[in-house]
Amino acid sequence: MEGSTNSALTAFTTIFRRDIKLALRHRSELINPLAFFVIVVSLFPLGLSTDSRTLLQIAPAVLWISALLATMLSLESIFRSDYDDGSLEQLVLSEHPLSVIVLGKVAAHWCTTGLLLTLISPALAISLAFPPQNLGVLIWTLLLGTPTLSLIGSIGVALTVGLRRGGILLALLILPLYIPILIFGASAVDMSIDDLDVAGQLYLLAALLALSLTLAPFATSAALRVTLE
Amino acid sequence: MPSLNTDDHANSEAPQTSATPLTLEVESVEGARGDRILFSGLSFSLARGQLLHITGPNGSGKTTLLRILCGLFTPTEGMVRWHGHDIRSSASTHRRECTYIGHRDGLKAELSALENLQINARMYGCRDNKLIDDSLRLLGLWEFQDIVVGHLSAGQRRRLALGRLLVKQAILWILDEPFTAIDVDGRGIIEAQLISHLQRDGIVVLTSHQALSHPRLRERCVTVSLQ
Repeated sequence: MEGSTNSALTAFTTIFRRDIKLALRHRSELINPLAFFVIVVSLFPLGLSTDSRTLLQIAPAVLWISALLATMLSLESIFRSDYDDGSLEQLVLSEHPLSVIVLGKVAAHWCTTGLLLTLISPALAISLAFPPQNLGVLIWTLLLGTPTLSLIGSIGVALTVGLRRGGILLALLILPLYIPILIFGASAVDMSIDDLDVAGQLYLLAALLALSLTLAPFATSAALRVTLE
Repeated sequence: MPSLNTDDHANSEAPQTSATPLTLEVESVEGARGDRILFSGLSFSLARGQLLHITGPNGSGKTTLLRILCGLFTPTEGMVRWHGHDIRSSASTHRRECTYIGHRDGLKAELSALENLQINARMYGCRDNKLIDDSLRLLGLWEFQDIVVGHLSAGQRRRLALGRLLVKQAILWILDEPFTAIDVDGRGIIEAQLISHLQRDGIVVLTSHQALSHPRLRERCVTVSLQ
């Protein structure tokens, strides 16, 4: 039993490190979602108003929706190149549980998108007149929410990667599932600006993360097997 | 309908008794892509030390059959048994003991030849760096080990893909057109590996449009032709 746990752990770290390495060699794919996030957020002050009260009112929603769309744009990269070059069928035929491999790939995806989005979010929040003392809550919601976005997104990508034009279908499949995360994430940030207690929202985001962490890898593995049929 | 030519000269040396059970058994398998049935009622079995050469024109279902044998496709009818068990119920044993090299090489273009082979080896649980080095030397890729795969030629990439066979050392090799884009030298190297694999009691299933040239491969060869 211990041996199989060990070998599954090796599979997880091998895939995780491979995908991080690939992301670092593909700088443009690494930077694209970040640039998208920065540009979309900075369009709002340009298009709406530079009045700090108006900006502060929309800041939580703008930050969260932009982070969500940036994540969605990057989702395809989880399985696209592996599908195209035949690595995916090798991974599916691997002796290790496919869910562990999927988890390694999603973890690498989160580190190269969600985590980076979270790290640059304070700078963008400040540009929307966001009060610095509430940045902690923003970072917490993104840290708890973006991994869930990657995990749920992996199911959608696994289902659509075999289609030639799966982009719109992916958005239609995934966006409805993102709604609860958006609601709890944005409302926590919103309430923190009014100095209200946000523990409830954070617990719910953590619960959604735990739920998707335990279920999404299995759903994604099943979807991949169907896609390769 | 498929015909089974058992020009099986290996019979004399390997009597198929309970001591050497048939390892790969295909029982009235039907393969389909979409609504089109490519073959049906296909049955054959392979013992250790045998090579199966699947022939047939383009679109006759050779790749479909290979993907059924390695467990990527579920046959619409019939079943495939490995060591007497349905490969769907004992998938992990079958996957551990089987290496599939498909049409696509399964290599990452951004990583070097060495990195690709190392990652494959680690996924197979092989930590033997010497084996990886030896495989690269054997395949004639030693001087190219630090070059990213995207800059290698098609034949070199094919050789590197076949390197997976050497680092995994599974019993069952399933090869889809292994000689594509490979030069005469490379073909010689691969045929030599096939022979030594068969001598170690391995099993090889392959598709190839070219006939197998080596007499020692031909003497262990069973042919299935799909129409």
